[in-house]
Amino acid sequence: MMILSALLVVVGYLGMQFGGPVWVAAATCGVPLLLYLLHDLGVIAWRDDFQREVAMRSGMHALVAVGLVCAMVVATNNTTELVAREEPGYGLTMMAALTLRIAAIIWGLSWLVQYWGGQIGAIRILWVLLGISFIETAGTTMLRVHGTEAGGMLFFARLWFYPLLALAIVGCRRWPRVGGAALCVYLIGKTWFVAHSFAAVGLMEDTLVQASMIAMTLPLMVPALTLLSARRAGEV
Amino acid sequence: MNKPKLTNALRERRKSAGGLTQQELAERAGVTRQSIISIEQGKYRPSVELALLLARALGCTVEDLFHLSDDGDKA
Repeated sequence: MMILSALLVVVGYLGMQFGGPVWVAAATCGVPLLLYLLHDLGVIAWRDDFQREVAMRSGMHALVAVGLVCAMVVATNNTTELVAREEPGYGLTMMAALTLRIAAIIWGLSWLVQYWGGQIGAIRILWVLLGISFIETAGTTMLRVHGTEAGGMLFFARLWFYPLLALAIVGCRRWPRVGGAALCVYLIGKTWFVAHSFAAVGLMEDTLVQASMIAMTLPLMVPALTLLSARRAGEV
Repeated sequence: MNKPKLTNALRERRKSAGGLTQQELAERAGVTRQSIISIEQGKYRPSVELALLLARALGCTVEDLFHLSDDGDKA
């Protein structure tokens, strides 16, 4: 079930590159809704109270994160910019995509760290990140911007991230601080990449899209800081 | 006013009960290993039902497993 849910999240995440409410639904139905609905409907049962409590607490974290992001969007008046666009439904789709993807990501991260603990949770998050990065590299580069200057840049920039992710995965089992540091460098690098390099080659001119991508990257600082705070393996 | 802090001796009791592993105890109590780990680390407070199940699985009373200490955080 977890594999199916994770697959739906990846498919939805990739699909959002092309837009459309169907993909939004796919992204949303990944971990948070599908699992939760199936459990609540009694199709599958929580294995114990701890699992249920973690799921509920993760849902609360996701709600708080979505609330904060919505408040920030309203406070910075980005909604006016969205509604003013000529494309019909653009603003609604963007807001839906942003909030639902943030909810899904926060839910998943919170679940992994709470259920498996800081260290094992971080390792699992890193594997998921590696998988998503690989599929993104293969998918978006081949399908969307293949053969362009921007496509080449995206491809090589993403290649640069792989050694860092690999170092974080290998390091955080035995040397959590090394893993945490590698994850921090990866996140800072990716944020800088999204904020500056995309615009430099004519991609991601939309500031809200950039802001949402950064907002989805920042929660990963939680496992990074957890790993950095560990003095020895198995402590977190 | 000092709020009593919940501590537990689950790990010690598990070791003294024939060196049960976390997985074995989890199977006896009918929960996941992650629940046992979280209880031992003090990150999760079990329900009354689970506390009774754990006590039964280890052949002791709930009071042997869980204690309220008075040196908890100030409320």
